[in-house]
Amino acid sequence: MNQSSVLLKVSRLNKSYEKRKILENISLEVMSGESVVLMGPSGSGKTTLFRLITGLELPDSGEIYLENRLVSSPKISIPPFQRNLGVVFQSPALWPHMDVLSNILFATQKKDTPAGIHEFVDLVIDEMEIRPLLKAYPSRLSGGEARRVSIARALASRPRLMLMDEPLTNLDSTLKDKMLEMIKRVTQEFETTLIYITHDDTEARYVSDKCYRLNNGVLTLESTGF
Amino acid sequence: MIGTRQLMLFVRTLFYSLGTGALVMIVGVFAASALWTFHQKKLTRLLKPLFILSCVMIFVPPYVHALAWADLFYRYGIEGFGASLWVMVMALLPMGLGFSLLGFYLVEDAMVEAGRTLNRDSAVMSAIILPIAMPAMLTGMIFAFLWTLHDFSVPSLFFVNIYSLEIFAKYSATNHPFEPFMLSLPMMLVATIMIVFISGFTKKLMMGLRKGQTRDALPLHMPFWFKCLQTIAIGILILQIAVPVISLIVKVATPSNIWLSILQARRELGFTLVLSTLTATLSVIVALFLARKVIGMEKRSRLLIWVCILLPLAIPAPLVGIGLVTLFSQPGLGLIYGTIWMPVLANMIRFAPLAFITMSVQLKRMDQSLLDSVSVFQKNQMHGFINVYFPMVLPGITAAFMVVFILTTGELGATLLVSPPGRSTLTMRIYNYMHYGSSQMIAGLCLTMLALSLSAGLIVYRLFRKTGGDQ
Repeated sequence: MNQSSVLLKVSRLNKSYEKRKILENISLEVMSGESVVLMGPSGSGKTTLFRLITGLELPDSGEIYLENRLVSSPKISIPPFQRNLGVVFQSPALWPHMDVLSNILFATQKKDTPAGIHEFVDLVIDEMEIRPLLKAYPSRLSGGEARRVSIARALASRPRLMLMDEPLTNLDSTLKDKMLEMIKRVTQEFETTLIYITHDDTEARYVSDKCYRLNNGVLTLESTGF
Repeated sequence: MIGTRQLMLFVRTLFYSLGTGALVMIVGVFAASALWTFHQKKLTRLLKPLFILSCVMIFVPPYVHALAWADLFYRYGIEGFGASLWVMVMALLPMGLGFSLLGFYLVEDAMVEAGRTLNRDSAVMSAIILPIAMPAMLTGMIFAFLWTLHDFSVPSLFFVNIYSLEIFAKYSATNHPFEPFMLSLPMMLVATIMIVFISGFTKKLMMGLRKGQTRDALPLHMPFWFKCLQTIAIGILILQIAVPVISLIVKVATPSNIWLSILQARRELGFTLVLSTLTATLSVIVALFLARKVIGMEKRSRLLIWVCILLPLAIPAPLVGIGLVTLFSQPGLGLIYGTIWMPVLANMIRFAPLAFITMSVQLKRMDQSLLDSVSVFQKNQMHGFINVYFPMVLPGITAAFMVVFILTTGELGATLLVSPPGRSTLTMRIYNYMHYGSSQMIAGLCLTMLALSLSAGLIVYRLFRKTGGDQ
C-alpha cells in the first residue's frame, strides 16, 4: 500500500443519543502509516467516534470509508471483524476463561485469516514481551501485563489500522512511559496506522504525528508533528 | 436398606430431574439470548415486559401450572413422566430465564466488543459469551434440578411415582422416621454435592449484578438456526404465562365463582396468611443477622458458612417434616408440637436460606462510603440506623419477606406433615380438592393464588430495580 494513501476517511458524521447531539458534522482523513491522536475532555464524543469507526454503532448520518470502501453509513454497516482493525479498549477486556495465548489466537481463527499469520503472532508475542505469560490466565496478570496482552491481541490479526481508546487508563506514570514507548515501537515496526484516543497531553505528544481536538462534538485539527 | 425397586425409582427420579433442569436451562438460554442479542431493537420493548412477567411466575406454585395443563394433556392422552416433566419445565422456566439473563449481563461489554472486532458474532457467542455466562446458567439448571428432585406435588397429580413421594409414603406407612431418613440419604448426597458445587459461584453471581450493555450497541448477528431456536423459546415463554392464566379464567367461568371459592376456603386462607407472615418475618430477622455476620468474615470461612446455610436446600421437604415431628414429639420437647410453630419452623428451614441470599445481595450492594459517612455524621447509633441504614436495607428486607411469604403459601411437602390438627393451608386445600373436589372451586383458588404470587413477584422486581439492579 502506498504510504501516502488515505486509509480512513470520515465524512460529515453525525450522532445523537436520545436527542442529545454527540458528534456534529465530523470529517477526518487518516493517511496510511500515520499516528493520529484524538483529544478532548470527558463526554466530548471521543469514544463515540471510536465506536463508529470500529463498527460497533451506526451513525445517524455521514459515512466512513476504509481504503476507499464504504464501511459505515446509516444504512450500511460492514461487521467490525471484517474491517481488519486492531482495537484496544479502556479496560484490557481479556476473556477470563481463556489463557493469554488463546486470547491472542482468537483473532486468527477467522475464515479469511492470511497465510503466515502464526509467524506474525510469534513476532508480536516477542515484541510485547509476553512469551512467559502465554499459559497464564488473565486473573493472574498485573495491570501492565494485561495491557500488553490486549495490545498483542489487537495486533495479532495484522490490522491495517489500530484504534486505542485511552489504553493506559489507571496505570502509574512509570508503567505508562514504558507502555507508550512500546506502543510507538510496535506500530512503527509493524507499519500500522494508529488512532490514539486520550485526554492526556503527555501521551498525545509522545505517540502522535497529528492531533485533533474534539469539543462539544466538533472536531478541529490542533497540531501536526509534535 | 434400599431395594432394587427403590434404586430404580431413584435413578428414574434423577433422570427426570436432570431432564427438567437441562430443558429449563436450554429454553432459558435461548430466550434470554433473544433479549440480549436484539438489544436496542424495538422488539426489546415488547420482549421486556414478557420477560419480567415470566420471571415473576417463579412465585406461582407448580401445581397451578399442573392444573392448567392437565385438561389439555388428558384430552390428547399425554400422561406420566412426559406430562409431569413438561409442567415442571413450565413452572421452573423463570429460573432458567433469570439465571441465563444474569449470566449474559455479567459479561462485560468490552469483552464482547473486543471479540466482535476480531471474529464473527456467532464465534463470539460460542467462544466468549456462553463460556463466561455458563456458571450462571448451570446454577439455574442445578436449582431447577434440586426443586424437581424434591417436588412431588406435580408428579403425583399425573400419577407418577418419584423418590420424594416414596419417602413421604414410607413415613405414612410406617410412622417411623428411621426408614424415610435412610431412604433420603442418596437424595441428600446428590443435592449436597450440587449445592457445594454451586455455592462458590452463586455468591459471586449475586454480587456481580451490574448495568447491562452499552445503550447503542448494534445487535449481534446470529445464524438463522439460532434465531429459530430463540423464537421457539419465546413461544414457550408465552405459553408458560398464557396457559395458566387463560385456562384458569375459562375454568372459573364467572367472577362470582372466585369469590365463592375464597369464601369457602376462608379458614385456610386466614391460616395461610398467618403462617406465611410469621415464617417470613422470622426468616428475614435470622437472614439479616446472619448476612451481617457473614459479610464481615474472612473469605475462607465465609464460603464455608455460605455452604452450611444453603445446605437445608438439600433436605427433601417430607424429611424436614418427619424430622420436626420426631424431634418435637420427644418427651420434654413437646411445647410446640401440634401448634402453628411447627409449620413455621419447617418453612423457615426450607426457605430462610433464600432470604439469606437476598439479604446478602442487598447488603453487598450497599454503598460502603454512605455507611462510613453516617458513622461520622450521626447523633448516635440509633439515629444513624433509623435514618440511613434501615431505609437502605428496607428493599432487601421487603424482597426477602415476599420471597419467603410466597414460597410458604405454596409449600406442601413439609407442611402436610406438621400442620396442627384441624388446620390446613390454602395449598393443602387445593391439593386435596385436586384429587376429590370440583374443578371450578380449584380454579378459583388457583387463580387467587396466581394473583397473589404475581403481585408479590412484581413487588420484588420493583424493589430490586429501585436498589440498582436494573437487569
